[in-house]
Amino acid sequence: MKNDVPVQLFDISKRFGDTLAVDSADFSIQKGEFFGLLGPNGAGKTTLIKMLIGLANPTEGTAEIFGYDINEDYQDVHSYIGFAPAEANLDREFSIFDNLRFHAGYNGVSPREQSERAEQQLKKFDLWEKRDNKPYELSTGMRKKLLFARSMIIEPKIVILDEPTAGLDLETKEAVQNNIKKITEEGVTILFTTHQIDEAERLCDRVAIMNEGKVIEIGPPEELLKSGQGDLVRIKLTEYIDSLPNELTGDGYRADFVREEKEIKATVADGAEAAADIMKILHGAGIATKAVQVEKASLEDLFLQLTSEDSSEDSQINSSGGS
Amino acid sequence: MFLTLLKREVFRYVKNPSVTIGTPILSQILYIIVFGLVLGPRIGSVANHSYISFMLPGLVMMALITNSFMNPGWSLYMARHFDWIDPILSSPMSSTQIVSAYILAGVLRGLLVAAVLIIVALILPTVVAVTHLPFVLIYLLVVAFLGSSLGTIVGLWADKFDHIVLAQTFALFPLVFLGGVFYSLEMIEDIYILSTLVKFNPVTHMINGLRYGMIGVAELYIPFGLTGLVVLASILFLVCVWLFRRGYKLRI
Ligand SMILES: Nc1ncnc2c1ncn2[C@@H]1O[C@H](COP(=O)(O)OP(=O)(O)OP(=O)(O)O)[C@@H](O)[C@H]1O
Ligand SMILES: [Mg+2]
Repeated sequence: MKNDVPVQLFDISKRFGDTLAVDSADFSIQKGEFFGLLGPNGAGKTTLIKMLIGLANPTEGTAEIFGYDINEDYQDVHSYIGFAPAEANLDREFSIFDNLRFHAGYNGVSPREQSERAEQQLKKFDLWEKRDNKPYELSTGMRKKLLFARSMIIEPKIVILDEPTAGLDLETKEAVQNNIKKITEEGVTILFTTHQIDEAERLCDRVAIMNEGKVIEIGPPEELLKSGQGDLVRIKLTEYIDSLPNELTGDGYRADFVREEKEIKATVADGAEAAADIMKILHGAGIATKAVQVEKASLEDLFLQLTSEDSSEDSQINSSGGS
Repeated sequence: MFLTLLKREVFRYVKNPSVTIGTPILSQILYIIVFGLVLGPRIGSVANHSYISFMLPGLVMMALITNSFMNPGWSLYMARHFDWIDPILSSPMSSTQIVSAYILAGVLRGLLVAAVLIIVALILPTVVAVTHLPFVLIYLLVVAFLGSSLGTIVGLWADKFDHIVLAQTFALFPLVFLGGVFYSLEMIEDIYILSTLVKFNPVTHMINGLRYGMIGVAELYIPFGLTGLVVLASILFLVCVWLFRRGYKLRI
């Protein structure tokens, strides 16, 4: 190791034709940190990860893993990282036991230990009975577990997991989450992506929220909520409406509008003040309301506010409305 | 690291011997029967050897080059297509190690098939199979290496499996077929274009060299041919390493 920083990005970008999939990402992840990467589909999470593990060439910028450059010192870099992709990339020509054994071997584990570790991982994830099956003979969830097991078999210092819990049943999801938590206690650094914001909020020390290639927020979940918008205002309407009044969609206010449930939601700093303000606008537009509710916003509410399509830097809601 | 990948690449054909080893041997044996044993006596002797002895080095080369070509060609194409190359690319192996494992596995497959064919030939009566053993070994090795490197490049380039078949049908097969498997250069002397082109075909030099090793007859200058083949093989190997290092069709 050249230094103690597991992941350090230096204005790293990736362009595909006209799409800027990752736009100058520049942050670091500390040792033993549980770091979550959040963002809607196509935000650039997978692309960012792929650049770290030698599966995508950065268009600009670079990154270092424990001080090693991802391009120049790729062999060192790869020796620290265990990776589980979102979609199975298992070896279809061999059994799942061989898959694990070979993977250990590619990563320099000695022949004797390869089989031992493969057995240990398969047993740990209830896949031992399936050891002679080909990967495509497993269920989707089993494959997901296998990908996770494979990333762990090399006992990495950094574990990168792309949607590790997507598609898992509750029990399995918990088992995987517990496993991830356990390894962070051993000083392993985790970088993971998820679409389940509550999961990130519960597990992560820090999260970065990405949208259209840009990292738009980064920090511990509690702090993001504090610094951003803390309250969620829900207003129930008596009947369907076709669109929101301009005052709620234009500059200043950013409210979400859930049509089926005849409900308007907005994440704001001061719930009481904003609720009164929004009510005034609605009544002014002749829209009748049934109930108003103010609750503590979750990371999910903040996430939706930040990443919903028409959001941009200056149209985020603020408590005073207008301006 | 390298050894595990080599093992994997060898296992993939060893566990399927009927397809990967049996098929090519069967097809070459059919050539031996039809061309060597049935048509051969009518052709008579070529360069003072029975036609079958003359033709055999060509058949061995044909099997050697196609088999060493096919292994990395298909294996790499599949590994890319189903993305199972990704964990290999993300491992601490260097590009050179990865390339060497793919190529060496192909070399071993080619040599295996060639060895079985030569053993079959030794059993056949009236067939001369080994005259200069060192030449036999050197040529088998160099050509297997060349074929396997070529297969590696095609395996990287192919975007669908038709492409591998395309490379095989339109490049490899004509080169091999026109490389003097079935005829001596003397037989085509009058067909000026063919006899000139044939001398520039590397496969002609491969077969020429192996024929020298097997039956002691060379129609072309061996040192020139061998040097050329070694240079060509080295260039192809370097191209493979370079393509891997650059991530050609491997990295997005
Ligand atoms: N191989 C590729 N070629 C061209 N464009 C690509 C490629 N891979 C990704 N992209 C584009 O890059 C952008 C980011 O994609 P990426 O897969 O990184 O998103 P993501 O955040 O992982 O999304 P998801 O949550 O759906 O997995 C998208 O616009 C996508 O179309
Ligand atoms: Mg993704």
